[in-house]
Amino acid sequence: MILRTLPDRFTSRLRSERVAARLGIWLGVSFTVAFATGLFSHFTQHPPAWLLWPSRPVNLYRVTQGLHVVGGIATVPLLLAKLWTVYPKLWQWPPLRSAGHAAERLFVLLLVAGALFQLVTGLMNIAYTYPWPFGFVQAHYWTAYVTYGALVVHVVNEWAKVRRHLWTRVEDPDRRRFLTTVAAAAGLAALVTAGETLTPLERLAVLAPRGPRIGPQGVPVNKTALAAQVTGVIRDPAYRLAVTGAVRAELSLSLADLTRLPQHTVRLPIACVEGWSVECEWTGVRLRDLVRLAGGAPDAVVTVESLERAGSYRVSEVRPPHWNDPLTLLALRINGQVLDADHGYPVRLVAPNRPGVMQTKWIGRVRVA
Amino acid sequence: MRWIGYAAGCALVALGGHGLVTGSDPAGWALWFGGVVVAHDAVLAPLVLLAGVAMGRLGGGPGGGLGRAPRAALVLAGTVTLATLPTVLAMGRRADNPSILPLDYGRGLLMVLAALTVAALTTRLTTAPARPGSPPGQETAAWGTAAWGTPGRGMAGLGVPGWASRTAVAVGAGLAAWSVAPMDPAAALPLGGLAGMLLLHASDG
Repeated sequence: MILRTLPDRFTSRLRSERVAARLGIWLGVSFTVAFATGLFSHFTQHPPAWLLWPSRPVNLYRVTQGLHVVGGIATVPLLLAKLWTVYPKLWQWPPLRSAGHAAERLFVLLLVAGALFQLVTGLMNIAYTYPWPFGFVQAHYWTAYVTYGALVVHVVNEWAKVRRHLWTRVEDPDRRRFLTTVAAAAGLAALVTAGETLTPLERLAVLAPRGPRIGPQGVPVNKTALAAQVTGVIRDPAYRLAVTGAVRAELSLSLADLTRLPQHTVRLPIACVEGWSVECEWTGVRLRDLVRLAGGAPDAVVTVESLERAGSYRVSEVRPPHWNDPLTLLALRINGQVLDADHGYPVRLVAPNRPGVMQTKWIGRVRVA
Repeated sequence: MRWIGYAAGCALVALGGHGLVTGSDPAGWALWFGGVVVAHDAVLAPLVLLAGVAMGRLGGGPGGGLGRAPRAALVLAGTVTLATLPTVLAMGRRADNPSILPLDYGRGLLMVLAALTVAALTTRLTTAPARPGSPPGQETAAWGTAAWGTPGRGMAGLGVPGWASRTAVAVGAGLAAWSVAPMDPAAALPLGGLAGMLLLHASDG
């Protein structure tokens, strides 16, 4: 009996189809941006063989991943408000009217669960907190398809309502105020975090997981030399950078040899998958010069290998658009100083439009294929 | 057209489901996938509804509620806290890497909350009481309309121009944030001021 009348007990006049539609439109935009930027990030890190990402614009990955993460944080108030607005529908009676209605509700369940799951796991990932048994990357990636697929089905089902309310002003002042409050909450959430990538706002980023100028030599790091277990091997006086593979003459260069090659200085961002980024000044040898010196073909695929013995980002592939780019360096210095151990001493890769995890540190070998 | 949408949506769901079954820990994933729904629908949402009922009953004046600005401040405070909670709790700190979660997040959150509190109080104080004769609130759910809906005349009614009361709210909020972080005025003053202006905008509609 209680269940039958429950939906009628939610009496707030702030709930309306138009408010739900408006919040739904905002969420549709935000989840589309998150899905697109997320896929871009995924396929930047795991490109199929035929896909050659361009190395420009230099800041493309920085912008897309900043949007992904800061946009995700700002989506939290939107999603909570939307769920509050439609909460009475959870208790509709009878719960299932027909097979079609059951299917519709199943997809809504997938959408709600997926949206909450993506925001919760994403927020915890940027705070380096992993209380779950699954791998974050796989779960966040595959759940994105489930969520966005359920969103597509939901939008098809609700399309008539979206069209009815898309260009109509919310007349009721209370409801308009409610929507403004939700937008202000999203804005405030972005304001206190965006500075970790939008450096002019860095002072305001009091709730961001990173400070863009906090870390060794004033730059954050994800993996330290200690965590990578390379503290001994990188200080070995017998260190050599090997250039091997499909080359005319293999090279074996000491650190002194590297510093005698033509040095170039570039400004490039280090842009992490977790959304923080900061531009630095890097000095070192162009990867292009090194491959040419060894006699590699211009369409070769270059692989840089770290001195780490294990780790999922020990090796990274640099395809022709990136290694032929004059901005791509094997860097020896950061902001005028010799690289700190945590920044990849003696040599690290730095390339434009590339996620931080693929800017391989502590490089011991460059393989040309 | 409709069926193209359904087909595309189902294909994406199936692709994701297949990936989760083959490339992840399906049981652990399912626990979290269902768990977040239960946590929201059975815990968070009822708590918000209860808070809404309480807010509707507090205050008791004409309109029968806390007032617009305090309500908006609670919405902003609650959602921003949730959106940054894993960072604020900072359980991901690592001994070898002080650049991860480097800030004092308790203080950061307090700055935001202090700014919102002072902005809400200043807005409420500078807003004249609602018109007499506005109906008492009957709202029982969260963010109820009654109090929110009663339009105040603002300090304009007292002869104070709107820009002055707006400035008072922003400055008050900035100072409130500064009082939490006295060593950092360059962050606290603009942050608090902006938070105050967002709140003002929210409660103005």
